Amino acid sequence: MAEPRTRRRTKIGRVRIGLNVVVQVVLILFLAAMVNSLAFKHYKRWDFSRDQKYALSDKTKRFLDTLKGKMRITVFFSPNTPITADLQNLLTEYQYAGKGKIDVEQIDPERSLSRAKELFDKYKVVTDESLLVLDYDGRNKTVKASEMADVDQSGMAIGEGPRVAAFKGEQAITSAMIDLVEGKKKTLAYVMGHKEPALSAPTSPVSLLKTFIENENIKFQELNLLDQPAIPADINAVMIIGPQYDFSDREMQVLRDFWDKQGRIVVFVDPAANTPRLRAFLDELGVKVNDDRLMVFVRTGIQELALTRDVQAHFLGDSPVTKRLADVRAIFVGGTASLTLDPNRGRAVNIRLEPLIQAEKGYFAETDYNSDNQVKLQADAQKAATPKRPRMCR
Amino acid sequence: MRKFYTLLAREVRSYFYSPIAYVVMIFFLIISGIDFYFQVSFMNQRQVQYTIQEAFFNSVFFWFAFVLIFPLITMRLFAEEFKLGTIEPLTTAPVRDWQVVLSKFFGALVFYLILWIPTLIYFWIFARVTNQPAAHSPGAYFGSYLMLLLLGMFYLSIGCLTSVLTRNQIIAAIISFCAITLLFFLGLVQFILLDVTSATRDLLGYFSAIEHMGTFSRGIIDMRPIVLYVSMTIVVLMLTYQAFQSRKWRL
Repeated sequence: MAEPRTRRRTKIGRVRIGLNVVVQVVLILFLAAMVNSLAFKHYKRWDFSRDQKYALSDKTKRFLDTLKGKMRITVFFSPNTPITADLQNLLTEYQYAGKGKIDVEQIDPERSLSRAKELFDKYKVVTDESLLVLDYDGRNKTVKASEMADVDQSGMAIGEGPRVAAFKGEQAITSAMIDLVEGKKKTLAYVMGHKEPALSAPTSPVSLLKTFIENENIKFQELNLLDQPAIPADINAVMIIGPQYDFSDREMQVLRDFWDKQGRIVVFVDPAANTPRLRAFLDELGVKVNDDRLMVFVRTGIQELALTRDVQAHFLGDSPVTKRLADVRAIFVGGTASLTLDPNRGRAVNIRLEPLIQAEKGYFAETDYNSDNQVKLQADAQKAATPKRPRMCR
Repeated sequence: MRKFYTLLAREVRSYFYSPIAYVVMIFFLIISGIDFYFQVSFMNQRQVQYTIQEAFFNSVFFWFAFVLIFPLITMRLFAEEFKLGTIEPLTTAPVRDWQVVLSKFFGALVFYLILWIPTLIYFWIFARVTNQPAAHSPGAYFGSYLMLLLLGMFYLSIGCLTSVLTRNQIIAAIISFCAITLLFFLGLVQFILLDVTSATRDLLGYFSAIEHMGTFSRGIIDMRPIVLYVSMTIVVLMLTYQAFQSRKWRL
């Protein structure tokens, strides 16, 4: 009788110890989960790297402290972009400093096709370039990879990859965030009423430009100068693209008033359009639109030369406007006139004139551009073959 | 505490009495040497944005050797003692079970740290030969070796646990290899899965050893991996202790 009782007692003892062990294990697992959950939400980071490359500036930290809502950052970066790793590290610092107010989603457009398409549609992304989209309170703004770094591509010719000369991610992202949070959109007016390209066609270059501009959190507004006594004060810049009819005197006065009030005007002139008043306005500022067309003779055989009126040109990196496009080549299809810049006139009205685009070597400005006389055109080309190459106007 | 140090000294000595320690050391030095050589060759061919120290601690070779060494270091810890019967004198000696478990764990940790000492010489030689710093800052070295310590603690504790569960060293090695590899690949899931939310990606990133090493090797010390690996080491050592004790009360 004593033996079964002892066995039963031993069994009860084992069960008790087993339960005790299970409780201990569950408790320690629970504790570990709690500690990790707390650490996941509330953590600290210390930057011991030499130049504290990823440490955020005090200005950014102060700004992130003042953030009231949630800032969502969607990153569309291909892994081949040279600054991808730098950007990821930087965004981790933003998330850390943002204390839960910064939400980052990484999308590899080459792998996550469906998600990328969904977000491309949502944010109206119309470029293949790696970029990130900041979304705050229903407003969004894009920051492109080219805005975040100076990339040295000089080694490409000898088979080396692009090298990041300077990473300026924090500067670009913080300033975009400030623009978004302040919410005060800048407005760009697109002048209508002179048969300018219509915005209605969604795939037209102007519509594409509109989307680009709106992605920068800039309001794009159509403006008809005919019914305006003055350009509204909230408009920061006016864009005139290829008007086919000239502006009236009254309209020119409205434009001049805007220019005198430190307004900004972007003008694209169609060389074929008859717009003497607009051209006179530009001439006053030292920019003369010449009555000519840029052409080039291209050798197509041993003794064959073909005349082409499509202009190959490259952007000049001397001006801050085109600095990031330095040496990028572009083709201007169709008739293109040259521009003459008169620095003296510019100085008289207190503006500095800088060329932005220059035609490639070999182009000449032909004043008799309707002529089909090849001999004459060739003679003009030879005559014009001087080191000074024409600047262009569209 | 004196008993613990005595046991620890015994454990460390036992590594160097067994041939496996030298096999592991030679295997490890060959792989890490090849890794270093390849990284230097690669950097000679093209301009890169990172340093040799970052490249060394984030390469495929590094992770290959890293995942393999833990089963080799830990497989004999308890399994061998169970098989040879030397565990009996140890459990009947006037030492506590936690002292036995911790001495084995720290013994393995000391051996693991000894394995890494020669890698410091690589960087010193690199700096001497090239007149270039091998890392951007002392903080980068500190971060890398701190992460090695943290990951080592966690993976060694897993090895201890698997070794206490079986008498067979090979089985212990296979189980710990599988467990460590699975944990390692858990951190890679975020790179494989496509349409996951950013919260899920953050959560997976929390367990990603590759990501942790990438951050620490740049000289950025993040508290989260420290908490994760220290807490998980404690949990697994606690489980090891319970498994070790269970041999007594299950009889």
